[in-house]
Parts: sequence; C-alpha cells; structure tokens
Amino acid sequence: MSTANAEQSQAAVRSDGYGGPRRIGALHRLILLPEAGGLASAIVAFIIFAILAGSNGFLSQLGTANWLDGAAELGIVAIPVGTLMMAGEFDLSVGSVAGATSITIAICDGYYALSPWIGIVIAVGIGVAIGLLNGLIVVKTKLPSFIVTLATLLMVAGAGLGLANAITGSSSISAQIGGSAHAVFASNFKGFDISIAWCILVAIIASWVTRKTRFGNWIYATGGDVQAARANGVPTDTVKVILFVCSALGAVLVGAVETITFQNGTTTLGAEFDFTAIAAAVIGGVLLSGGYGSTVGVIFGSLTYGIVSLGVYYLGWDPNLSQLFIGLFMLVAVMANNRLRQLASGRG
Amino acid sequence: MCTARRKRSAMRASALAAAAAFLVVGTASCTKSSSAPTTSSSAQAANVSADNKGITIDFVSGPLNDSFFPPLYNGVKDAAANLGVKVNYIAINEGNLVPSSVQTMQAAIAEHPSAIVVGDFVTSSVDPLIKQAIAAGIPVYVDQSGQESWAKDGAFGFVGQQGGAAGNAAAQQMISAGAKNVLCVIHNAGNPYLNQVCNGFIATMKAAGGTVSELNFPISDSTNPQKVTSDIGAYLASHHGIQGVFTLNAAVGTDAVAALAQANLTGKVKVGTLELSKVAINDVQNGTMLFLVNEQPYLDGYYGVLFAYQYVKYGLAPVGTVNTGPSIIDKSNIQKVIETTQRYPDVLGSS
Repeated sequence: MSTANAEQSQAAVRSDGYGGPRRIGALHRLILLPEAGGLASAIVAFIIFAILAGSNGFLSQLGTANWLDGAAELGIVAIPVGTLMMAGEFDLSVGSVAGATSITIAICDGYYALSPWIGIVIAVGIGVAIGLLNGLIVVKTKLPSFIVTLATLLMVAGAGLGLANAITGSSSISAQIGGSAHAVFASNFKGFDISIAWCILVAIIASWVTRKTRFGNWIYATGGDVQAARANGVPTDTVKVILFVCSALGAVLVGAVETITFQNGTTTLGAEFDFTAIAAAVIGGVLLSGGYGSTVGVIFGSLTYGIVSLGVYYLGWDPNLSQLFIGLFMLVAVMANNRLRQLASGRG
Repeated sequence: MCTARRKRSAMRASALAAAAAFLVVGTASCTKSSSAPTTSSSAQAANVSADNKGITIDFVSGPLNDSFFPPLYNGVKDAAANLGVKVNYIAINEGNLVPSSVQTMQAAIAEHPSAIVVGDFVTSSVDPLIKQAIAAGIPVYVDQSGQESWAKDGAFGFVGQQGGAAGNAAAQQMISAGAKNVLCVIHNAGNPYLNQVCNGFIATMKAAGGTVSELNFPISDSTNPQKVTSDIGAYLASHHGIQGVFTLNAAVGTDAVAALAQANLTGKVKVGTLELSKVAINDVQNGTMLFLVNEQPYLDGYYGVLFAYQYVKYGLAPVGTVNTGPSIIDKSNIQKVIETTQRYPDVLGSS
C-alpha cells in the first residue's frame, strides 16, 4: 500500500470537524467542534441538577464523587466504543465482556484463591480473543456489526453463566481483593475512585491517537467512506479489528475496576454498558453512521449520562419517573447535538 | 425540524434547553400532586407530624418495574404519610445490580439523611458502604435482604424474610405434595438473594432425599413472559420426571403454570412461587398453583420507615430481626387474600 496515497485520502474523506474549512470566528468555531454538543449537554445537566438537587447533597464532595465515579466507569467503555463507532462499527458485546471479566477474576481469586493478577491476565486474554473474533467476523463476512456483536453478547453471557455455575455453583461470587490489584483498580481518595484516573488515561490515549496520528486519520476515513478509504490504501479491515479489540479491552478494564471496587463478581456485571456506552457516544456527538465525532465529546457524553442517571437519586421525586426523566434528557441532548452538527456541516 | 436559518437555529437550541428545564419543573409538580392522595390518612397524622418534619429517611431498595417492589413502595409511602416524615426512595437498577447497589447507597450517604433504610442485596459490595454511613453518623436499618450481615455491619436492625427460610418453607410444601424431583428457576442470574432462597430450597429438599435442578435466566429474559414460558416448557420437555417447579417471582410462576398447561402437565407437576400477583392468586384458587410464599413486602416498606423513624426520634428499635415472611398462602387461606386484594389492590402484590 502507498502511504502517500493514504495521506492524500485523509484530507478528502475526513469529515470530523477538525479538517473542515475555517471560515468563521473563534466562538463559532467552538460551537462547530464535534464535542460542542456534548460539552453543552454536560453543562446544562450539571446546572439543572445543581439547582434542583444541590441542597440534597448532589454538590457535596461525596455527591460529586458519586456521579464522577459513575461517569468515569462509563467513559472507560464509551471512549473505545465511540472510537469504533467513528470507524463505522458497533460493539454491543462490551457488557458481557465486562461480565466475563468480572466472573473470571472472582473465580480465580474468590474460588481458587489465586492471585487476582492471574484472573486479570486471563480476562485480558479473553477480551482480546472476543475483540478479535468480533472484528474478524465483521470484516470477513461483511455482516452488520450490530448483529455480529449482539450474537457474541449472548454467547459470552451464556458461556460465562454456564462456566460460573459449573465451576462454583453460583453466578455471584464475592471477591475480596486487596494488595496491589486493589491499589491499581480500586483505590479511592475521599470517595473519588481511581477509575477517574483510568478514564482520563484512556481519554488521553484515544484523543492523541485520533487527532495526532495517521491511525487516527484512518479511523475517520474508514467510518466516513470505507470504499474511498480502501481505494486510497487505508487498511480499513485492520483498523476495524484493532478497534474491536480496544473496545473489548475497555470492557475488561471496567470489569476489573468494578469487580475489585465492589468486591463481587457476577456474570451480569456491566450489562447496561451495551446501551449506555452507545448513548454516551451519541450524546457526545459521535455519528451513528460513523466518520464523525471526537473522544473528548464522548467524555462529555459520559459525564452527562453520569450526572443525569445518578443525579435523579438526589431529586427525591417519585422513583417511578426517574427513567422517564433520564430518557427525556437524553432525547433533548441528542436533538440539540444533531442541530449543532447540522450547523457544523453547513446544512443548517 | 431543520430548515431554519442559522441565527434562528441557535435560538432553537437554547429553546430546547429551556424546554428541558420546563419539563423538569413540570414533572416535579406532577409528582407532588400525584403523591397527594397518599397523605390522606387522617387529621390525627397531620398533628403528629408537626415535629417530625425535620426527619428525612433515604430508602434504598429495588426498582418499581420489578413487581415485588410496588407494594413495598406503597408501604414506604403510607408510613411516610402517617408519620409526616420525608422519605426519598432511591431505586436500584436491577439490570446493573452490583454497580447500581453501590451508587445508590453512595448517593444516600451524600444526602446525609437522618437515617438510611437499605435493601442489602449484594452484601459484599454494600456492606462496606453501610459501615461508611454509620461512621458518618447516619444510622442504617437493613431491609428485606442482608440478614447475614446487618449485625456485623453495625446496623440497628433487620426487617424482612430470611432467604434461606423462604426456600426451606417452599421445599416443605413441595415435599408434602409428594414432589421430590424439582426445578428451581432463578429469573435474575447473579442476584445473591435469589441464590440464597434457592439454596435453602435445595437444602431442605436434599435432607428429605429429593433432587433439585436449577434453571437460570438473565433478568432481561425474565421480563418476557413468552420467553420464560417456552424456556420452562422446553426444560420440562427435555427433562422428564420433574414433579415440581419453584419460581422466585409471581410472573415467572404464572408463566410456569402456562408452560405446564401447554405441555398437558397441569396437576402432574406442582408449581409454587415466591411473591403474589392477581394471576397467581387466581391460579391458587383454581388449583393450578400449589402455593405462594408471601414475604409481605408492604410490611418491609412500612416497618422500614417506621423503625428508622422511631430510632431517629427516640432511639428505640425492635431487638434483632423482624420476620415479615415466609407466610404461606395456599387453598386453605386464599379467601382472605382475595378479599384484601379486592379492597386494597396495591398492598399485597402486583395486579
């Protein structure tokens, strides 16, 4: 393949907002960035909850830690899932990978009394294998990743449950892990979990890769127009397979964090991420059809989801309505985002 | 929505935000008015409540989309109204059980209420937070689940049903009906409380020389009655000789009854379940369901608030555990249950 060609193609295919023509002032330019919608949602969500629930502890140190921890755990999964979406593919299997990680670590530690690091290494191996499987099936068969990863979701969840019950006779195993593994995955400072640091680390790596490297350009090119990208020498299959592995590894990381933090391994841990990770990416401005979005936006999307989904607890309203409210807020955020994106692409 | 010019669309974006804020306020006022009827109890309650206004209780428990919890929540609301205390019911998301159990409890601690009542469903994760709350000066009362750990966490009491005891009682019913090769259906794989019930069931069964097999579903499947019915039907078709099915919520129980009807096994295979529902009550009345194990969740909710209130106000609490179950409902006492459901439809179980 010719790298010169690939470089050329990037300018042509890229539509992420960074490469577009700059014809307006600085303030407008901010609005037109792909992360602007996510940033606005996060700020609006924070202000609403600060006003309505500030006096109930939402703004206290513990309250802040509460929603930041939730947002960080979501972000660890949502950033790689969102990056994969920018390349035009979905991964619905992340929740079951997190569950498989959780039960693997708990079986190794809680049942066989092995070092937790052995469980973590096995879980990373499982994650890489599932990511490769997802990626290879998608690029070889050209089937929609939505379906392929839905199938792996079910297979992994079923295998995890079956194995856990066969080995231990239970699908929920307590895992009281201390020592170095606890320090790395579950440290806590005044209520703030180390997952926040992990999320920032994942975000920095992902932002650097997507914005500063050739691989990053390949991601947008693959998601924007896969035929054009391939014609210009972008190894689109490799890009996708690598990103599938990354999204599985994000799930492994969050599975390890949650299992060791919450001291309990279950096969169903993380099941919610299948949808919340995609929701966070979309709120953060990632286009479902690929080719557009930013990892910084996904972080704001995760923050928005964290604020809204945990903030409702502080409102003291009828609990019947909390899901209604979360859904409503998501809808408004995505609609506002959509509007901004149309402005950005000059179709306003 | 989008052919407007650029300036107008920017305005529209802010209008969207305003609309969101408006809806927020709207929902808030809706909530207030809809909960008004529950305070209707009596004028006497209003008098008592004057000096109770400052008492706030956070009640962390299951979601209202799980049929078990609405009666519990109604007990919570009635107690709050009768006592004139403020209760914030914080619902755990069962689809995300472990993280959500932790996050909801953290939210409760951050609110710093006068007391927390918590359903300790995942003890290994929630116990440290119970200790943290107590260390922060918030008394904790454990409700409905967590019977093994409330005392060592330093909580001031427990009300609920011992999971193991519920399983034991159900097994006794099966044994007296002559069913010794039985199936235990766990509709929320990974929920430790349900595992506990099943383990109690297995223990009593084994002691009587019976055998128990287990069928696990993820929670997402258990909310699809068609799926549950065919899963149980398929299990029975491929495992001959099953004489009884024990399920852990009423909807799954009535699905099991439906599965038996489809397979022409009604009467040959006995069904019993945890929890009540209108359909399950009918099934007991017409003999297709053998028994229901009633935890009396309304009492879990009502007593949880009552005991927390009395502890905050007077430092008084029942000593040890208060058992709200297992109370067995079968053909012999179904009449009273039917009368109650007709008069007070939200107190016993889902309709």
